[in-house]
Amino acid sequence: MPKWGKGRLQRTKKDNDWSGSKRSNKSRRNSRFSDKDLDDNLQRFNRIRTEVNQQLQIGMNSVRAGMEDFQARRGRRHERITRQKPKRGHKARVNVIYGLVFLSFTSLIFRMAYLQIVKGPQFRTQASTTITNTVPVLPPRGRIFDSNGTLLAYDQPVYSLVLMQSNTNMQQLQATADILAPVFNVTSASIMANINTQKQYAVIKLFKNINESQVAFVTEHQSELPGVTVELDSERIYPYGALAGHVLGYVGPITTQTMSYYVNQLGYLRNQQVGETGIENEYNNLLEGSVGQQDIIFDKAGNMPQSVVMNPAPAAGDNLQLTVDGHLQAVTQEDLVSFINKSPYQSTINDAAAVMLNVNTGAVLSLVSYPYLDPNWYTVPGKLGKHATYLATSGAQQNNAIQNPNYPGSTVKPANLITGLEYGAITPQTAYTVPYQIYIAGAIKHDDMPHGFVNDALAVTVSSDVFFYNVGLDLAKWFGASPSSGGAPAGGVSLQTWRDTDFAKGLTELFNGEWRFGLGQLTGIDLPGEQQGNFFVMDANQNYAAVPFNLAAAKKSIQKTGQYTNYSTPVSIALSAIGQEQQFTPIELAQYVSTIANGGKRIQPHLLQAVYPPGLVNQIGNSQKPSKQVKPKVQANLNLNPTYLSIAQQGMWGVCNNPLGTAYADFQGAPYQAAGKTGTADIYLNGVHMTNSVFIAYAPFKNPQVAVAVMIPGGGYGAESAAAIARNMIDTYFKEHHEFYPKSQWESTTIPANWLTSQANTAFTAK
Amino acid sequence: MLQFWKKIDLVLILTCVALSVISCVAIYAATHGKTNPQIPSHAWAKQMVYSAVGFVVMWLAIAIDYRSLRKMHWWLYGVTLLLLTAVFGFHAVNGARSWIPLPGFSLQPSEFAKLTLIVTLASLMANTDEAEYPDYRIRKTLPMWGLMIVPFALTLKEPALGQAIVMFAIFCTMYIMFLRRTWFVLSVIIFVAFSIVFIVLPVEFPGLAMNVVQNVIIKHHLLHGYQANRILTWLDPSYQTSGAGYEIHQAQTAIGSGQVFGEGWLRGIETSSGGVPNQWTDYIFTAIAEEFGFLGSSVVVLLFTILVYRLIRAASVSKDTFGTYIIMGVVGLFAFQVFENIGMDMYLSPSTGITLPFISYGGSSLVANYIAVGLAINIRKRSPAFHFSKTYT
Repeated sequence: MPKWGKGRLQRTKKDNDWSGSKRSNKSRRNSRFSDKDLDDNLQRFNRIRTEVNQQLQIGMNSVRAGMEDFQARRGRRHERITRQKPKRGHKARVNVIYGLVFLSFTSLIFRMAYLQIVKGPQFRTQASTTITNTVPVLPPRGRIFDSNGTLLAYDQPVYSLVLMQSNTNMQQLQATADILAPVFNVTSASIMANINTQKQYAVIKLFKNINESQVAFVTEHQSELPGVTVELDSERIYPYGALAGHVLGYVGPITTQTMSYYVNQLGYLRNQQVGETGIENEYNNLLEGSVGQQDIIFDKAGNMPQSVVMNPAPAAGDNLQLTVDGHLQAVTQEDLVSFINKSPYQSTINDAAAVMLNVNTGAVLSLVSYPYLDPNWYTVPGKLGKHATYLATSGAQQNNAIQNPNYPGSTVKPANLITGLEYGAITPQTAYTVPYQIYIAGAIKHDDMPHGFVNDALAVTVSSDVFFYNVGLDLAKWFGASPSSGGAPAGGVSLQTWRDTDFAKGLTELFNGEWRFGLGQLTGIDLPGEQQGNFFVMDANQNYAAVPFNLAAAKKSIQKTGQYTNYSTPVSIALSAIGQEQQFTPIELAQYVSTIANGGKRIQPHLLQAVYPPGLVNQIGNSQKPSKQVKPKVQANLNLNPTYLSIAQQGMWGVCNNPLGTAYADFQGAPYQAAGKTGTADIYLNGVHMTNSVFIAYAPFKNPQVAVAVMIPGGGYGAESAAAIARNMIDTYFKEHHEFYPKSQWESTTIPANWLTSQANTAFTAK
Repeated sequence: MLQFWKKIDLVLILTCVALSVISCVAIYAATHGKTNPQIPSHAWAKQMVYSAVGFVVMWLAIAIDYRSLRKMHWWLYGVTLLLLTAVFGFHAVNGARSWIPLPGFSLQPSEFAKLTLIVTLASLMANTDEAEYPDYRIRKTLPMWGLMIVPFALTLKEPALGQAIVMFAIFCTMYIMFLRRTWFVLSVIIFVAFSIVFIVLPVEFPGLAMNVVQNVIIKHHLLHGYQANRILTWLDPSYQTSGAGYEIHQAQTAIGSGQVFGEGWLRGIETSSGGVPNQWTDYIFTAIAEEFGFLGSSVVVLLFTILVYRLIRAASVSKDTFGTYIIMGVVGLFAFQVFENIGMDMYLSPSTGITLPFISYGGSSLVANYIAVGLAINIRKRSPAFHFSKTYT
């Protein structure tokens, strides 16, 4: 190829370079073309080749472009666009959006111009010929129901006559007063005087609590009475009077003491009613609802309100359902008062309390505090005066079930038995003949009767004090107390060393064994003002008087240093073991026995069962859905040794079912098996010795449902008063729940028809 | 130092300060001498404190590099969702669980949710813009819809319909910025057409529209009763003027009675007698309109127009698409809230609980607004074209 190519080119070149050039002969002879000609030709060739290549390139490019076009039509155009425009500008769009915003803002201006300039005078007239008065509107308070759905508290509508005043003229007012005076049996002058004293208010109260014929009169003569309207007010009513009065509490005005909380902190109005005690106070925030406002628009000419608008409307408070069983509560209250009135101890009984709990949920089924009070006395005008002396002197304002700790006596024995077993003071096999009396140091202490041979359970059943003195003394490592000897500290240590170490440890163990069941600590029941129980220790430096024992400090000190300084005596722990050196409230005792019954779960007692949305219902039925349901709250799981717990429970079963049991007589003939414990504590009231009658119980023995604690200071032995009340409460519970009893003895869940006239509801006025 | 000030949009800042001053004056007028238990004590003074806090926070928003938000936008979004969920654990105020009570003040997370929504969306959109092969197909934007729906639904559940709608308005503004040009044009046309229908419908065919609401929306429970009432009120100004329509009726009366020059500060007939409900929050504009008249209320609208104009300028000079999207989100936020809030007082749109930016009483809203403005200033400060733009535009 090169040869051919070269020859051809040479020929061409020859033609082209025909004119010739003066070169050397030699070169002319050998070759007719010079080197320069050759270069020229080479260049021309290259040029042609480049041209061809370019043409080819263009062809290829157009093919590629065609391909891309083709691809673009298949939907991938965006790729090409972005390759051409790597960054898109937003400027145009930004301006378009600005244009739209500008237009809409301009339309606002136009609209304003129309309203303010074109229609302005019309609106100005409209605004200035009407007057708006704003009056706060109190919300209806939530209602309270018992666990069976019975209504226990509600707001009763009360009509008042008010005068909405604005630009009032005196002549017109005088005319109004003249019309009203005869209907309300007053002089028109007194009406005018009343108006003048309230001149500064937008709404003047003319008459409160007006009757229906007066309401009708005002409605009929409305056109002659400009500005006068009938206003709805409310009054708190407790339809069952003294029933569960301490639980419900009552409402009252905001006082100077509560002002800063309600008015400044919560923003209440000064004329709002708030819960003063009980559930009314505890759940005031749920019951209260929220205040509304009423805009009353008058026209300027007449004084007639043009329209009345709620802005905002008041929101009623929630309805509450309690765990309290109204039937059981009523029967218990009546039973307690009639029992006391018939009792030989009537003169010494000043107060009493009874509590029944559901052992599995902590629900308070009944909570009675004697003497009773009727919350209506505080809320219905004119009633308080009649009862002021009674309320001030009887102690009825105190809720004895939660605020009045007293000596529990032997009811603490089941707890102490478990503690004794846990620390080895006794074993499940312990059994011996208890002496009637023993010396403890220098003192002689005896049982109420000789009990003979007892084991752990029987010691609870017969309530042997000496057996439990020994449990206490063993816990404190004070050995050798017997009918003939007062005993001595273990290991022959000095008395003070023993006090600070073994005694302090033993007493702490004993008290802590009670404390963990809820005794001596707040149960957390949802009522205001709960008081916790107390522990005491005898102090040799103070003539062996009982002084408060700080259990928490003792526990801490013993844990840290192994000792806790005190100046006590072995008698102190012996008496502690039988419940004479501590004070507990009935609610604490109820939580304690409930914890024994349910196997060691300390559940917080509670009174609120469910919250229902606002509404003027007269009963809670199955159709209503609660907005909130209260769940049981387990405060602690005691993890008790089942064997020990079972021994204590057996002992308590014996109390009610063994003929030797201290409450056997009380529970004779019961169709169910109860377990209980009596307590008879020595107390002094105004220097007079008497006994505190205490009883705790749960039933049925197997699968327990309810736990009861009854305390009647001054009521004799535990079995004499408290146990009888407890028996009646448990009977009523099972009769009402249709268990154990034959159908003929079943009771309904309604509050007994004769309740309002019963002693319990009526006997507490004159006293 | 001078360089720093040169780059700060002082006009924008002065506009906000002016609005804050108007706010305190108006809140004082709307609350003084009132016994309404819902009015917070010393509302105007509190608003002043909130303004000061907002002003300081704005400088913080200017000081940081807004581009760092892009790295942390998922965190912001996550925290926002947590807060929006947390409100359900607290007591309802006026029937809505919108607030988290903290010592001293209540936090309204939905106000800040609007900002985080803007930042998150802007970040996503900017990612697409800056990709080597940007993909603007509609289905690729589904994640953006998702990002908007979650806070939208949570806010709607509070219930705070107004706030939820603002979120949607923000989303729409940013979305049409992002879409392909064809879609943008189409959206604008649809928007304009919708607006015309919106204006013509109540004016020309109120009966028909009311029938639709009564027989379709209410019957099939598409809206809550009170929400349907608001639409009915808008369609028919005489609807339940002493019930559902009372608020707006009073609001319009107050605005109209302001006439050209207003009734004078603290001398408004409706304002001083508490005639307009919730006047210190949602209906604050009525206090300005009644006491300062057409003149005063025009100044307010004018100030808002300046505000939006400065934002628009910042958006158009920004060379960073992330920044542009943020600013346009903020534009959407302000423009919609201003139009809806002022418009509802005058029967231009159905009423919803939306605050008037910078003016309505409320700390969360105020601080959030100042942050939004701070971000815009920040973006403008960092856009290189700022110096040249003066010669070009």
